[in-house]
Amino acid sequence: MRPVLALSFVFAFTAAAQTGLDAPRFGLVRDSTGNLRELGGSAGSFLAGASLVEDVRAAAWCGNAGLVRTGTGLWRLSPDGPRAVGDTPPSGTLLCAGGAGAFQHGARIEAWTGEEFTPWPVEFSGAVLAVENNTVLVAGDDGLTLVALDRRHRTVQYSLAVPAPAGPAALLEGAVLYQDVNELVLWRIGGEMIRASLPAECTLEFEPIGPGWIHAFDFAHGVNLGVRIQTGRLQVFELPEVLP
Amino acid sequence: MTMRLLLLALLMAVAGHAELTVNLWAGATETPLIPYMTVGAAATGETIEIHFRLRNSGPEPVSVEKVTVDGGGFKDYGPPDMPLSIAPGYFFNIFEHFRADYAGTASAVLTVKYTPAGGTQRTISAVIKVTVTGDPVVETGTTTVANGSVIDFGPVERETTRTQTITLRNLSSAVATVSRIEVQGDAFRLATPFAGPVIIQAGQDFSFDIIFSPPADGPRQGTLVVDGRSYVLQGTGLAPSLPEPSLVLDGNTATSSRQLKLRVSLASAAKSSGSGTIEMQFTPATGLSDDPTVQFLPAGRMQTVAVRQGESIGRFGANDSITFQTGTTAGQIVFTIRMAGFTSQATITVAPSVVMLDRVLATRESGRVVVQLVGYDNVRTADQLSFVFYDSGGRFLGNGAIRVSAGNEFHRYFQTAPAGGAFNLVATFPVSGDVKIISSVDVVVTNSAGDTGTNHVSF
Repeated sequence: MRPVLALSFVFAFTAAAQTGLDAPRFGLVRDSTGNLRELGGSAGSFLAGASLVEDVRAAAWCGNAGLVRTGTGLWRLSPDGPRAVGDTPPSGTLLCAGGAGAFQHGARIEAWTGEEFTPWPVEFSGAVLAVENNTVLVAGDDGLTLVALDRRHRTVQYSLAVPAPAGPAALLEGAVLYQDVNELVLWRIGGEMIRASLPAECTLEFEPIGPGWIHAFDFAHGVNLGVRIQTGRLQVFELPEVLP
Repeated sequence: MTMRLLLLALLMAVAGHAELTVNLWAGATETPLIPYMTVGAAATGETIEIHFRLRNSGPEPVSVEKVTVDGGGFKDYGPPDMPLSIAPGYFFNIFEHFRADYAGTASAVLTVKYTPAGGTQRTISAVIKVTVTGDPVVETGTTTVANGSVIDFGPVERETTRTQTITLRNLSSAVATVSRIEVQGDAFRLATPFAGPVIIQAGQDFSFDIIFSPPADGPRQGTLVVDGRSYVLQGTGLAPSLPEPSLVLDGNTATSSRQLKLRVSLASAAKSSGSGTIEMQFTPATGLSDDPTVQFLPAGRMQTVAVRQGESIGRFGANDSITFQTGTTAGQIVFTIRMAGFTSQATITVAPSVVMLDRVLATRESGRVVVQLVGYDNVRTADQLSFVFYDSGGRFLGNGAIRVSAGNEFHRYFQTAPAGGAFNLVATFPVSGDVKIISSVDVVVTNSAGDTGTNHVSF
């Protein structure tokens, strides 16, 4: 049966605006002063919003929820507000898994399932740097490895060595994002690489901003970038901060 | 004998009235005036300034009715209005100029007439003397410089020089011999070393140059010694001024939602380090409000630009350029740089454009399809929306384009929109039937600049 489109047109209502129109939001990003802020505006003309969380040491915003580590501990963020996460490791990369926050605890990934953090049924011997869907980026003694999981069957579908130098890395649209000296590199399975020059000498860290966006930054060297892939291109933007 | 009696009388006159004393005032020193006191020395033809101070050391006010210096060569310099009252413990300064055209000793009588409160008028008189030498006067240009006075070189940029020509002019009727010309101080030097005694015939002159070359910023002092006379050399070292800056943009037009670079070029390599400011002003197109996303990165519309010695570019921290956002509102961005007294501007125009869609997402849900449009409208006049849905075979579904007039919704939204013309629109279409058949959608958005559309966005 062919579908019939209703002739009436309905604007979607959101929590922020009843008009059906709203300001674009890319996600949450932490700034050089440790404030977690909403990143809005347009790609290329961003607007940093008001501070939502202070004293942030690490953050991962996954679209509708996320995690932040502050000076007082680890917090799960959701539209309901921040909730403390107990018995958490003091360090380690904060991750996004299944649209919610996750972190590595021992050899396992603990992912928020809507009610609690639940360990994935697969163990990792190295440090988990990023998770995207069922793909995990692991840093081990042999370098970076991209691991594709079948979590349902608790098996590893495949694993690939990533020809990247040791150091922080992220996953973006199934590709690995890492720093190679003064370039930002996006490595795709199959070997394709997209490179972008970095604006200054730096040592980047990576954090998820929201769907499709990665925060690449080295605040000590004034580098604060938002990275995404658009129509096959690696797009690198400078991100704004808020004047004190 | 007559002279001795006169001297005695003058001594009594000076010392006899404790309530008012006349002092010679030189620098910070007051010396009580005594008869036949030499109050100064001048070269022939040289004008010197002599300061006297009338000090009331008594318990009552005194009224000074007259001050005169009778003798050749003296001239009041800004004589005060008389009478003048001097309160107890206070003083009043009298300035006299002296110039003599012949070597020798010049004398004059200083007379002060005053009346103590409740008393009768009294007189202080003293003969004063000035030694007039046959030395040549010191001149800079057409100005005669008195012994002990200042020769000012003014402000001079560091590592540059300023030269003053000093002329020794013999105004006496005899030959003058200058045995010593010396310059002291690390910022001053003689252009040509003094080779030995100089003989200057009557009416003739001798010139030499002094060079001021400040080795550092700030005031510098030195001394010029001409035989027994000395002169203060002074000047101020300045940081070299910066070259004229200009702003460099990649062009004078731009589209919205861009991150562009601004650079500063100097007319030449800077001889010193310094800094300036760059201000960014945004004038939205007619009828539009400001756009906070028009800004420098990381923040603000004012930036400091630094200049390093030896470089011909401006720097922003470690970078040779600064990034700015063009925002999502049509208008004009004007950059103004102010540096070292220079002001320069550069303008970039963000032209009105059709709606730009950065992202179009089409999703199927149970009983409906959702189309999300993320983009910007830099003239904020978006109105008509048109949606055409297709099946996997490319055939359009329904009765063709679904047209929506959304002008009012856009207008309301843009009145309070936080980020210029950026918007996020989510359109939901209730669907009866199997939504999986819906394969793609075309969207057209119209604003005052025209139409923009997508080409088969897949679900």
